[in-house]
Amino acid sequence: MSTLNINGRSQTVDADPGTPILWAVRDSLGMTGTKFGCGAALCGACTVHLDGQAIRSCVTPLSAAEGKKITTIEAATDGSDRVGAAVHAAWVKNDVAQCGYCQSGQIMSATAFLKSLPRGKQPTAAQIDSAMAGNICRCGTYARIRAAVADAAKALA
Amino acid sequence: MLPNLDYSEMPRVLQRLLTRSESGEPASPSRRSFLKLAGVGGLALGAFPHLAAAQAAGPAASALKPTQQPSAFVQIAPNGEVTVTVNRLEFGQGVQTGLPMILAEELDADWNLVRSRHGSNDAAHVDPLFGIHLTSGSHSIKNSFTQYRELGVRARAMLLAAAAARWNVDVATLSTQAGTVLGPDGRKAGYGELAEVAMALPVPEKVTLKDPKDFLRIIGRPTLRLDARAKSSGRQDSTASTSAGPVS
Repeated sequence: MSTLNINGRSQTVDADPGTPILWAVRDSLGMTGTKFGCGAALCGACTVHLDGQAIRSCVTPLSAAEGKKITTIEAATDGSDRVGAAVHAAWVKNDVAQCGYCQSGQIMSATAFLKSLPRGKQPTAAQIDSAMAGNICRCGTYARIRAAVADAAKALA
Repeated sequence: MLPNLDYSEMPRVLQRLLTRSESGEPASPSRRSFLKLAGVGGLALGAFPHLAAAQAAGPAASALKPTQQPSAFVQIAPNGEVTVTVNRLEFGQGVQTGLPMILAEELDADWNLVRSRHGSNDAAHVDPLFGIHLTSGSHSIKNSFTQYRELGVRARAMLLAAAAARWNVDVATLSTQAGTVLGPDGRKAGYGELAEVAMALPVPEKVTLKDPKDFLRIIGRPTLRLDARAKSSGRQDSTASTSAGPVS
């Protein structure tokens, strides 16, 4: 058994501490917004926040989350988080998603990146590209992702 | 026979399906499939699926194939929300928005109130040309363009008939504008108010489609994807999130 603090709630899952966070989130807790992409931390589809940092949940064991807070796409885009809400709105406005499979991870990476910036600071295109470089999109929505991150940053200024 | 296809090279099961679809026979008993649809599709009150029961009693229903029945594709809720069922898989090509646009154009729906949802393995949701459940080869819009236009115009005709009955006027005096039927003397009724009565009326077989030069409101106009919100919050279903998917 492992206890997780996830989206502000304490949840107990029947899983070994070595289990990837992704399995606990998707299979034990039924929160399927976070996606399984490659299972090897190569694509970013499984990105969640661990104490605000973007991490790859497919290779991060439950033991690494002990005493820390996990945030998933469900909480980041439910309107309760200012930055997450701005990113979600920018994603919709720019019609970023095509198939949508990678977008939960993209949004989690973008949200963590914007939270890491000093309030009101506008990122350069190169900074956005660098922050988003670990998230792969097979549909090739990169241009809209970049525009949406810039839009969200403006909205937060 | 379809052009440019050598049937003898196809698997036998596909040959049978194609032959059957061309002969005009429904792929399965339509009455049964509609009863089933009515059961699983009960998204809203005043929804079209209930038409199935009404139609099954009349001989007029039999001439239309399951793929031509509005009840299997359009639901109109009392608040005017129009939910269009898409007979294809959405994987980024945008069909979950494109096909509802085509139907909504002929229905003369208020695009802001149009939603979409995936179809099922029901016989009504096959590719109307190939007669099998199929999403491939750029066939979605090509093969379902006329189908979805006809579905829209049939549903619109039923709403007009319902309004004509309500106001006791000739249907020819009525017109529609973005989800509302307009009558003589400035009378108006929203599609949502009429849907429940419309659902009990027979589905018209002969309908006249719009002249493409009259595609003024929806087809050809840029719009946000109907699934943009769901796909930007992890709420879009994927096969990996179903119990039968590869991630168990």
